Amino acid sequence: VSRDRKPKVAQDEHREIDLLLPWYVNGSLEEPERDRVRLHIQGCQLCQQEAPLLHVIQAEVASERQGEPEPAPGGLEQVLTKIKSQQ
Amino acid sequence: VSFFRIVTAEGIDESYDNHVERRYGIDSFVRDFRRGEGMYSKSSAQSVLGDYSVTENWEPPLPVSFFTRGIGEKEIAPSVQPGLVAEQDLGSLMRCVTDHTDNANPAFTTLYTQFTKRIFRFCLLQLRDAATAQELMHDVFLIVWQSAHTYQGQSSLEVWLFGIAHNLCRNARRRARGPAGPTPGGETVRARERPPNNEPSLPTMTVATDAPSPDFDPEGQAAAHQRCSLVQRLINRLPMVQQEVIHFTYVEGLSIHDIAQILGVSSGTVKSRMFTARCVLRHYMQEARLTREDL
Repeated sequence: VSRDRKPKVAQDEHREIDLLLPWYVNGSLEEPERDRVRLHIQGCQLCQQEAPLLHVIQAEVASERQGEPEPAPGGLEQVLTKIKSQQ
Repeated sequence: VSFFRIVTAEGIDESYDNHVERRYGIDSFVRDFRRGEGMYSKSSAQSVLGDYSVTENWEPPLPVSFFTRGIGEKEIAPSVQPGLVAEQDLGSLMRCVTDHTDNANPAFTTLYTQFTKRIFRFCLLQLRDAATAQELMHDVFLIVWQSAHTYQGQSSLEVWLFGIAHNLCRNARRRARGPAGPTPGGETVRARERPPNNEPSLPTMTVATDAPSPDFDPEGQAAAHQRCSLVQRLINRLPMVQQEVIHFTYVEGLSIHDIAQILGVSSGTVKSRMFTARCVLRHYMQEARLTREDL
């Protein structure tokens, strides 16, 4: 095994984990993938920086949606009217 | 379910503090956490933030649902809010809708109540106009009524519903682009003949296209611009295929697999779109930092 082998493996591992980070942050990863990401973050400085940033972006996006318009009242009645008109 | 409060002003780890200052400035970071009320599920915060100064067993002032949609970890918060139907019961609800008898209306009403806000929110992201989003959302539920018998429970109901919404939005956006190709913003389109696969005709509507900057409505866009945070404004510059992955991930909290099913693409494509979005966003943020005082 060449001396370059280990860094390449580590790079590949980091690349794979990096792709998964948004879903680690949103809590939708399941075991064992979630545990794999968690362990990697503990030993990876880049991911330790990136994961909190993604948390902030997630909070920002979620917070923006809270202030968006709501559906107008009476929507259900309109849908039911459409349904009746097609029956 | 227990929450705790991260005391951001005093409790920020030094390395993280430096990192945030470099990227955002500490004021922005504290504001971000306060806007999210600085609350995370314990496992989430510990895994990401490490040993922070926290208040244990803290009573959140907002409903738990706030955390299950975008900030907290879904698996430790209750998955069902009061008055809503559990995922495992939605299949039987759909069977009631399929009957198209007198029993169907209450079931359909329950379904509508449960999903209307989420479907509307997605349509609004895609179409950028509340009235148009509302119309399209109605069409989604019309299709649900007509096609309930085709739901086999192979995917979750939310995935099925978002899949319908995504198809309708995509078609509306294609119609808005017209045969001449993409336009820089959006345009008014006329309802036309019934499209294939039994989708209902759409009324006259104004929709955004796939262009990265959908500023087709100067007044509305200006108002939206005022409301939007810096990060959201940068996200709005991304192509819609990336914005929708961000939406399903951060707003809906969906998994890679679910998002892939909704969009009709592979899991690899979902990850790739998100990765590209993050790279471009990072670039936008570096740009924006130079002029953030002006934004």
